[in-house]
Amino acid sequence: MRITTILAAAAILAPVAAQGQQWRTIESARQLSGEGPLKVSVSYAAGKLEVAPSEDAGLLYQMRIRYDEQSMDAIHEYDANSRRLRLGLDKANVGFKSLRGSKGDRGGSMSLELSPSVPLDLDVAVGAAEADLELGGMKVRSLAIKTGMAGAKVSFGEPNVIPLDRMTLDVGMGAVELTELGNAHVGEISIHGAMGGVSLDFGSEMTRDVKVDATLALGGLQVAVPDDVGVMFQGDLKAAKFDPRIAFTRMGDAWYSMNWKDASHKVTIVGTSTLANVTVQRSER
Amino acid sequence: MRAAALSLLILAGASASASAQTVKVTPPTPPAMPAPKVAEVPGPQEFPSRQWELEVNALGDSIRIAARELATASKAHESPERIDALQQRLDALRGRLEAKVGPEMGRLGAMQGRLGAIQGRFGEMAGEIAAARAHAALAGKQVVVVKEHGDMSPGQLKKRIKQISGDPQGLNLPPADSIIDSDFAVAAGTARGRVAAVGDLDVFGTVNGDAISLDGDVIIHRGAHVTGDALAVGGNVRLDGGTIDGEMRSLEEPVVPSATVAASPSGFLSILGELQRVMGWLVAMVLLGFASMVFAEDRLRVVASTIEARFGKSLLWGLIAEVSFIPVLVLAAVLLAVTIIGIVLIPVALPAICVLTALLSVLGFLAVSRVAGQALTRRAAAVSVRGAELRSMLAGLFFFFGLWAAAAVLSWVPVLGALLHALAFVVTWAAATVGLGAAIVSRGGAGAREVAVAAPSATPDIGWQTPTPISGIAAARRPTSTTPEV
Repeated sequence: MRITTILAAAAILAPVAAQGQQWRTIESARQLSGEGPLKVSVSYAAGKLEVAPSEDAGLLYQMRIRYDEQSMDAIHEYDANSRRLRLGLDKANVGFKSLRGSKGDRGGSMSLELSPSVPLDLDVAVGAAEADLELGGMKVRSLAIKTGMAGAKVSFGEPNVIPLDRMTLDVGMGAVELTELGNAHVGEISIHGAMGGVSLDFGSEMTRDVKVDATLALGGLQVAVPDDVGVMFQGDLKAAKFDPRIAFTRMGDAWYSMNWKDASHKVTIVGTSTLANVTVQRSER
Repeated sequence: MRAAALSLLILAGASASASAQTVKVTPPTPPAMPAPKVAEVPGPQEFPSRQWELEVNALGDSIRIAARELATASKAHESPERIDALQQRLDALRGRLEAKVGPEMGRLGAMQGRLGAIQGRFGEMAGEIAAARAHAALAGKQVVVVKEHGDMSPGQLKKRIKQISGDPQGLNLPPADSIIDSDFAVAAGTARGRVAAVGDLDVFGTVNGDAISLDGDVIIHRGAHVTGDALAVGGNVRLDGGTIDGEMRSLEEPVVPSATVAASPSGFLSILGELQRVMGWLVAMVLLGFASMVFAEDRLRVVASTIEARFGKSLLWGLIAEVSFIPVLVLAAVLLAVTIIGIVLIPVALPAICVLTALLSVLGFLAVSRVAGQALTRRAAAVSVRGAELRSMLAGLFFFFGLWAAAAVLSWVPVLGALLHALAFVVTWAAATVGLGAAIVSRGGAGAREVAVAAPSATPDIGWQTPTPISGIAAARRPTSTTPEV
């Protein structure tokens, strides 16, 4: 009773201290110059992040960001020589502000449009932000997504113009959901999962074989593939189980879907899982 | 007559040639400067020909000869028929000359009038060119040109320049006293250095540097080129067919960083905001202190006694707790994951550890505050035991949060503000660490009750002692046995 009362008082009074935010909005854009590959790093702490292809063919990127100036600094750096672009938010480094840290930038938002005509090595790191990435119709050459407390949704509504050689998912507490992955033309997916689960939905069509290398802990892995795609799973499961929703057969220490030999394309899943189930099913899309 | 006509012809030709040269000069400043209508000036082929000149000369010679013969005949008193014939011939020659020269003289008169107008226009152009060159020279020295804006006073403009220069998202601008306050336009065909404007900035030409607008839009028109960044503060950067090598950036308002807040209204508001946060935390801790004294008075007393009795041990355990908090969480998760029941308990156990740690920290900090306040209020008037404990705790809390308040008030002082913040942080962290350690050592105040020998006295020690008589009291004698020992 006593403990509960003290906790309730603390919960009620905690917001009193979270004041003094100073919001500002910045728009940043840059014209397209050169067709060479571009390395894009997006870092965003808390709020809502949206990434989509740009409708203006003449722009390299266009960003609109709303953030608390008291605790964060906006980043919009471009190095034309090394073809590097850094966008998003960073912790403010203005005197005492750096000691206070972020107070939970829940009211913040960032929308980013990237050129569909430039090959991109896209690196997205989100802390407690809800990320919604629509990457269809772009030229994504490599993709790295790192999540913290919140989840992320990644979709390839339109075919990726070039093959996506490697995708890396570093998952924290929030779940990561990827849809229409078949349009990404991805060849290799590396997953480091913690508490949050990972969902890979390849949609209705795949154009190449995919290798999934997963290291999972606590969060599960769900893989959905088209009907004509074969799946092989080989993993070290600790306090977890392999949960196939389609017909599989076991050969040695590996599981193979019944259509493995005749499959037009194949998904190979290898890795280790602790307290995280691995589920394979047919895509409903 | 002929000489006058030829002189006019030569002058007309020379003047027309001079005016044809002036139109080749491109004025450096674009503002609506209409070009002279040179097409209306007659070309050289329209002027009287050489044949015309020879015929006029021949007529002149014939008139001269006829006039001389007429004069000779008159002096010689020749016959009237001869004189009339010579007179008629002279009149005929004069008529032919007038018929030959008359139309050309009319054309020359009209041409002379137009030439005068062109010369006047040429003078105006020369004046405008000189003014434009002077303007360009001035603008070249002062790289920022600001368009006049009716709503902004010089003081406000100076402040805005300072804000934008100090804003991490802004651009560095030169001092306000180097800014021109006049109309300006970057026109097509012209090149400028860095340009700033209050209001809309239209760029048609080339800007070799940044294009900046305050309270307006930066509009890059077709054919325009900006080699630097385009920044609009309080407006937007609009691309209308031009090229920007750098970044297009739009800000709502410039924000002054805390290092330069000084005594500005926004800086004052920032200080007020920080004070508000400090007061919020103080109120929260005071209320938690009241709650602790109501619901966990014994625990608070035991923890406070532990701090006094085992300060070093409390500090050590506090440090250990802080360092090992994350590893303990991970270890707990792993250990719980070993069993099925443990897996179920993970979502409950891990938050419970966090909550328990937070409670111990709050309890410990309140105890530290009480101990510190006890030292601060040692000379205060005597009250009841609980009253003294409450007073001590409040004094301690006011001491710790007073440090933060002082740091907030003086945060605008560059070095002192940072030092006070650092001092407040270190003192608060040390107090929290000792308090957490004492709470752990005393098992949250539930154990080690032997440490709490007695409640701290509210009054000086002398207050509860039996008064000693002035005469003193006799020392009691040790009882002695009257029976002789055997």
